[in-house]
Amino acid sequence: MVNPGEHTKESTRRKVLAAMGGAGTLALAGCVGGDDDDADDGDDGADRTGEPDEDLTGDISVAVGANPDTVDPTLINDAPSQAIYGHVYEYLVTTDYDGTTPVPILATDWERSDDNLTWTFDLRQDVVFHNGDEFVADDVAFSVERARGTINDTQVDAIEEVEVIDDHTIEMTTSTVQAQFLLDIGGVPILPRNADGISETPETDDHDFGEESIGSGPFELDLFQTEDRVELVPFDDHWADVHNPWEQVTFQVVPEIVSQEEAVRAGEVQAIDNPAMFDLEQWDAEEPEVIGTEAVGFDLLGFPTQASPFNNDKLRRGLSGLVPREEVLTAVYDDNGVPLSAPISPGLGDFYDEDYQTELAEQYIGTSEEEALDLIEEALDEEGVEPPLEIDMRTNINEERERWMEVIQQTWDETEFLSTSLEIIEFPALVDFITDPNGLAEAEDVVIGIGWTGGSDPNGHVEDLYHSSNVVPDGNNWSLYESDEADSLIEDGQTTVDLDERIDIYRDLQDVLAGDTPHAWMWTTDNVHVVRTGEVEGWTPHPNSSFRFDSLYAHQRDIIARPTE
Amino acid sequence: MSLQRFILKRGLITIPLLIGVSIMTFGMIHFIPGDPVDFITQFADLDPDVEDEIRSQYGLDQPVYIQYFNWMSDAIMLDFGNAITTNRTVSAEIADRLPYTLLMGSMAFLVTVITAIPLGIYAAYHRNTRIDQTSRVFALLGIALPNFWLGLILILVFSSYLGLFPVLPPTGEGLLSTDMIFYTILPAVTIGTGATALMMRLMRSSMVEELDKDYVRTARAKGLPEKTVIRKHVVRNSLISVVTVAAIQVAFIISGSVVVEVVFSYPGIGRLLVERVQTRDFPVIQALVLIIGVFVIFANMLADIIYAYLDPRIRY
Repeated sequence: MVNPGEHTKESTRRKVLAAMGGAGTLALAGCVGGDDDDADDGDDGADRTGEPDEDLTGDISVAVGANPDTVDPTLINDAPSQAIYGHVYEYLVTTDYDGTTPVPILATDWERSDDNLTWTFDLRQDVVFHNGDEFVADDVAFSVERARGTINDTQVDAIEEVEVIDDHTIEMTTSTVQAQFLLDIGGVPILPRNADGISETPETDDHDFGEESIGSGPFELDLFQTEDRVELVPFDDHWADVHNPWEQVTFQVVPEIVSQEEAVRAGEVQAIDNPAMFDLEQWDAEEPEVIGTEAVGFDLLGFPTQASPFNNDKLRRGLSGLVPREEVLTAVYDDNGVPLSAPISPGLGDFYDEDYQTELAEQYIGTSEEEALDLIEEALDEEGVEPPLEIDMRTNINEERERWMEVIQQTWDETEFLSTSLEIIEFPALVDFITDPNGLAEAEDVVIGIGWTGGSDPNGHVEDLYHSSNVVPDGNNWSLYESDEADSLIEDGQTTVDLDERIDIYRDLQDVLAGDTPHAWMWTTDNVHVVRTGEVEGWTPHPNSSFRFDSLYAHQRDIIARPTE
Repeated sequence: MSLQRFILKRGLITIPLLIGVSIMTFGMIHFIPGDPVDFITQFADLDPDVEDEIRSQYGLDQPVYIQYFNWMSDAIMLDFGNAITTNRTVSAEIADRLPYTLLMGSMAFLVTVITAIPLGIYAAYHRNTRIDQTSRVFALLGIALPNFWLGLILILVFSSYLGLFPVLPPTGEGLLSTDMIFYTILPAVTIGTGATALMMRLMRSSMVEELDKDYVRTARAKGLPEKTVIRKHVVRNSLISVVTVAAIQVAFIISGSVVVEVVFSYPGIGRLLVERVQTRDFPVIQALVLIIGVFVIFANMLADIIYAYLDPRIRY
């Protein structure tokens, strides 16, 4: 979690970069939501998958759109790197495909104390690292310390004390109740403490992670060619007694969408993760198939809520109400997504309620253009602004985002109340602008269009963006939104462990946020891959893009893609 | 002035240029607002002791001029430190990628030379005919077409529809393997098209100029065969300006590889540069900018020397 007062502007900026570059970061993704019983009692992951049912093996090539360039697992804070190196490094726990249920990996079991502050983990006993070291509790303690002070500090900053009970038992105590603790600790990669060239301060380490992987995962790094490819091969001494069907997995970096599409069409790769969403129909009559899953995160419009006339919630709600969400989803995303009226996305499982989203839309932003225009007219009148209100819209270079911003621009311009201009800038420049306390926060006429991926827990969707302690530069509350009611509900959501209670808290929070509309939430688009299903079966994108390729060998979660022959 | 003296003088002029480029390259990190340590640590909130250690590790605790001399003396030995994103040595990262760009660049240059010169000669010899006009249209197209668009069209036509070339670079193949060289043809044609068009027009205009000169009339009047007049006199003299431009084109082919490498997923330094600019990996960016800058300076020097060698009248 963000620590107010300690984070500088720059650290905040980096988090945004990681979180919004199409990436669900573990730091932000963090967070639990699991069923109480599941959270309290882990079970042995290896047992869930049963015996290997066949010996079929093969190679697979996957074209990835973004470069997985962070190779030190402790420093990974971007989804493209996590999605790949998550096969090489392991964690105490992970989440199931429902996004909420904790699943054991290196921990076989865990218990939470009555005061919900102390967690005791039983650790797997038959694990060796790629460098031959045996896995013990000291490695967990080392790995937690290694994450402290890094870009992923939020995964461990609530941990006050780590006590090694014995080689295979470890206890961690948090300063406050952390509902999302299992997901936070599930983002900490476990490394062998005695490996050459690594220490508790990764920034000064000289271990070449691109040359030698030292995880305990089911795959070892065979080749890392920066900005080109990553090749993984099975780790023969991996602890899981579950057949690994892949003799070699190649992730080839192909930044150009057309090249990705032509490569999967020609059969040079078996799957791609970045097809053109507006042209998915092209695959209808061909062998590669479109496979999509509901996702976490959302696109949004950000307003400067402290500057007149944007400080008037009617204007913000009216502008939000004018956005033709359904039409954009059809035109730009080929209907692969759902419209939102609050910041909880469908990939969050039980926390998302489609009917409630509709209810909020009806209550706060209206369901017709007339209602939206009435709100805008009223707001401009109250603020003494003579129409048309001039708005400077900004977004980053991104084909789909540019398209929907153009649609919104056109829609707004068609009214008599608004006159807009649209500026497309580099992503880092946009992030600099929104995280700068003198940027969006001080702007009077700027509306930005951007995406946010909060990870697998609702807290990651709201705390950093809407808690008043996270106003830039201490967090990602760029719009300077402040609400005691929202703050209180966000804090309750963090410290409440009962799932039903948490669902109610986030429901109330959505009501507060939708009423204030510090952002206009647009939609959540699906995670869509194009896969040669004639060559690979069982391919299942994870709702969290950080785990998008997990189905290659998610043996703890009973999902393993296989070659067909 | 003898050629040797000219080369020496030209070489000496290069020294301040190289120093200027190195200062600008080094200064990049200091021109950017903020603390360089933040770029190295990716803006993590570090313990002040760790921050000091990093500052010391990168020599950032020294006065700027000392930092420059340290960086420059290391750079001369091709030691650019470690990349921030991968923690690998920058030299190793560039060494992995540079051969691919050089392969693509040399193939592009080959494409340029073997097509531009004959076509230029042909167009000049048939000046103001349909052949000449057609070649002019193609030359204009070649110069005007953006590389990324041409690259995509070539992929769609030759890889997807005709299936003659693979879409992606071959995996597990060496730099000089048949598969890799074969794959490099399309990117080389893409990057070489603009240079071909330019050189073809230059060859044509240069040759047209030569054809009108008195010595050509004299040669013809003496009864020399037309082939001899063209090959031994006209073409040779026309080539002087073309060869010098070709030398400069080599540098532009290398720096122009950035877009083409992204389109073709080609594992060269162009893509390395694009990615590292996005991640603000300044040791890599500094090294690549310096290398490309030095390359351009030396290509220019080479062009001047070749020009002077081919035309003894030229001594600046």
